[in-house]
Amino acid sequence: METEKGRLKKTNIKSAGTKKGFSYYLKRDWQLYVLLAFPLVFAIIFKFLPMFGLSVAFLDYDVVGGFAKADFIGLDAFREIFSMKDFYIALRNTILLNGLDLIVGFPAPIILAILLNEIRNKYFKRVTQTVLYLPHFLSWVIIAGIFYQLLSPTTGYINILISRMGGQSIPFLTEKWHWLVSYCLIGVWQSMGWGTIIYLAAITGINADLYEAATVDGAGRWRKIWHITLPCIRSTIVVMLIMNLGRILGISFERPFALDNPMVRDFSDVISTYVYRVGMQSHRYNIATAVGMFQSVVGLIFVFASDKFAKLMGEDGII
Amino acid sequence: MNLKKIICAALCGVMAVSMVSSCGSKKENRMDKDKLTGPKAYEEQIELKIPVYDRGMQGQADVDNNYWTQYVQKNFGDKYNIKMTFVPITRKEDVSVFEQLLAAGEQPDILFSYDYPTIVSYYSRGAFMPIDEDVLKLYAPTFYEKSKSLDQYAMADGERYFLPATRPKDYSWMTVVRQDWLDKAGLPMPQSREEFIEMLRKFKEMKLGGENTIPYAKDLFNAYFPNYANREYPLPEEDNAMYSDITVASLTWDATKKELQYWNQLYNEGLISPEWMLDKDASKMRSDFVSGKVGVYGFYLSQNPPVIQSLMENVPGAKLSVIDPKWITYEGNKTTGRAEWPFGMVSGISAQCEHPEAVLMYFEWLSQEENLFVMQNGIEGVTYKMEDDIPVIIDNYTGVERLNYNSNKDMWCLVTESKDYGSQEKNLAAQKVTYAPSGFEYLIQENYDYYQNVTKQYEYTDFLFNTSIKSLSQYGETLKSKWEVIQVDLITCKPEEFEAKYDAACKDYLAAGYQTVLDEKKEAYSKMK
Repeated sequence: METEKGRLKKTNIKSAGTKKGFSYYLKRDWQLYVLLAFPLVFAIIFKFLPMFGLSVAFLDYDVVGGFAKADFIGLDAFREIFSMKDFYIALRNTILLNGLDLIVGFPAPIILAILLNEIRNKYFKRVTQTVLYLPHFLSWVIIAGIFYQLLSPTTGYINILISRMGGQSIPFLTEKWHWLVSYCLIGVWQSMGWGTIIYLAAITGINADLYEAATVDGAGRWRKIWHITLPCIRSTIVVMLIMNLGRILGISFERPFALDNPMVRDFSDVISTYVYRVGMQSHRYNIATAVGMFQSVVGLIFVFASDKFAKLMGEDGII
Repeated sequence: MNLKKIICAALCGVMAVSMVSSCGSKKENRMDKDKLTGPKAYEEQIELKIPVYDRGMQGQADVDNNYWTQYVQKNFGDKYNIKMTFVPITRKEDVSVFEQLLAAGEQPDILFSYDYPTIVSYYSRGAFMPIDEDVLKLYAPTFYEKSKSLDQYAMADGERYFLPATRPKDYSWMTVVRQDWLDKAGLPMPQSREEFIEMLRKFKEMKLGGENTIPYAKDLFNAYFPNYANREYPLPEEDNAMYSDITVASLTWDATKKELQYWNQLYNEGLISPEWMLDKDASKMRSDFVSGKVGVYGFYLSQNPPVIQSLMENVPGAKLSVIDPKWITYEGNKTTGRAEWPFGMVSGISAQCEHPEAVLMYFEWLSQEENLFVMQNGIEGVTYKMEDDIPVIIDNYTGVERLNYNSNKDMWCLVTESKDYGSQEKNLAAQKVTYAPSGFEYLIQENYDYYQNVTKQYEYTDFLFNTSIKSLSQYGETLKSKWEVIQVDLITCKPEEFEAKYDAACKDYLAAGYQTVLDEKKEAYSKMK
């Protein structure tokens, strides 16, 4: 009997719970659900529905016939990609350029944010910040134009200066190893200022008491940066790192394309330019889609892996 | 879980809808000559969508809505109760824009291109409808007569599909040499490639353009690589079929190899633009020429951009001559060059077009002398004035009736590629006033004389396949990208490294798709025989 009662009780509780189900909460919190609906609809329309297009990777698709005339070709597009030498070169270059960007470009805004934070004069700080943001708003086509003007081997201003002073002109953009360095540094110059925003925000959130206590304990500037600022923005850094790793195969099109020239094609041909050429310009949309799908899958794996890693390091992760 | 189900259902729904909708296109013959009785006004208004190039020129009216599109509406559209819609097509990405419009099912009623392989590729993918000859004669008799000589280019697999525009010979492309440099160096006009190289050396040695003299301006080659000097004359037809197209560079051909070696020699001797490999759009070449550093320069003569006028401002004593076409030929060889196609723009009627006869009516209207003349020249006394029976465009007119870029060319290019006044003398006189800045009309005359007396007899005509070479569009861009790297490598390397590098490059190039292209061409060629 007792057990029977107990069971009854349990089911009662359960049914009570389901009675106050979705509709109950919907009624009670409908304002919140309406707020939720907007981003949800946005995500469905712009993120999930387009995924239907991924089917192109498995079809013999041509714009003239459309989907009606496209035959199913299974994994043929993937097979073709993985048998192309150029694909591996593009893949290698993508990882190389993004890897270098991560090594050179990722710490740069952190360092800059800390430096900015240490500036005393607030007007000077604001002006500096604004000036540092500016390159972010220039398009890569313009940036490439500027740097080609500055760095050309015989007609560039920098090289004219060098040769006037008796030096040897440096092929900043016309020799592939030099180009790698130029590519990274131009990237740092373009994005460093903008990247500081998120770190500066994190630094602002640090409790000022901590600094005061450290001062009392006799800590200098370096000590304070090392023991307070950096640990306090560690979680921000980790989140940014995870997001960056997720994009390791996703490379922007404009930057390598605009800075490209035939003398450095060994390094400048990356997945995005490869997709543009082999997929879009040659009108082979299944190839383009298949490469894009491959990119996304690898990116997802990287996100999961780095998230796991972050959790192992004792951070929260993002998933 | 629930959310996932919802999303799944939504995705499936979208897929189903788009599958069904794309199946729905109908397939009846809209070119049925029994139903079409000749041009007359439609009872119910129809819409005609005509593409027009948008070149992104500053200071020009919208290409799809300006005085002249309204003029077409008023004088052609209203007459037949047709609503004319002009669809802007970005000039530099025209193929991609057409592809996008096709993908969206919003293609205009005609698709066009200056590039014949592109047009054939649209055809082979089923984008066009066949054009019945009787219907064409009925609706566009003037156009039919004018383009009759181009009939072989209108056909694909034995049926009429294309509407090719005529191309009267144009003399605005020229290679000029600084005559004042030749005079200073005491040299005659070069009569062979050997003499030409000697001349360049002398230009450099005497520093005629200052410290950084560039004897011969050069930019990065695109897929079109003029290797005519090293071709046999006459050329065996099969070689022509295999290697003459200008969509991909014929790297593995002997003529190309020898021509690359010639450029390698020029580069290593410092006779060409040192940064040519960075000059993709010939802009550096132009600014070098304008600043007076350049001895030999190839370009389209035009009043705008004011290349010659700027040169004269920068270097007041400069004198120019068209270079004798023998300059590209080795001693004792025949003078050669590429023969232009006899057609200009090639259009096809979209398979989805509802009223193909209306397209033909528009072509007819454009072809008729009185309409074409107005479209090309505008209004007398406002946009042009008559001088010796030749209409001269008034340059500085800025009112609404001003002609669009290049005398409305992008509108009338459907039926002809340049102004045609019926006789060679008249055309030449018209080209002089159209292209040459005042005082430089003689350049057009020189170019004309050289063409008539020298070049014309030894020109090469590109081979034309009657089927589409599919691998060309599949591998064309990849090969173009490879070709850019290879030409830079082969032209800038040391002469002794050339052979080894060339062999390696050929292997790479063949593997990247050129072998497939050659195989397909060979098969297509043997089928034509």
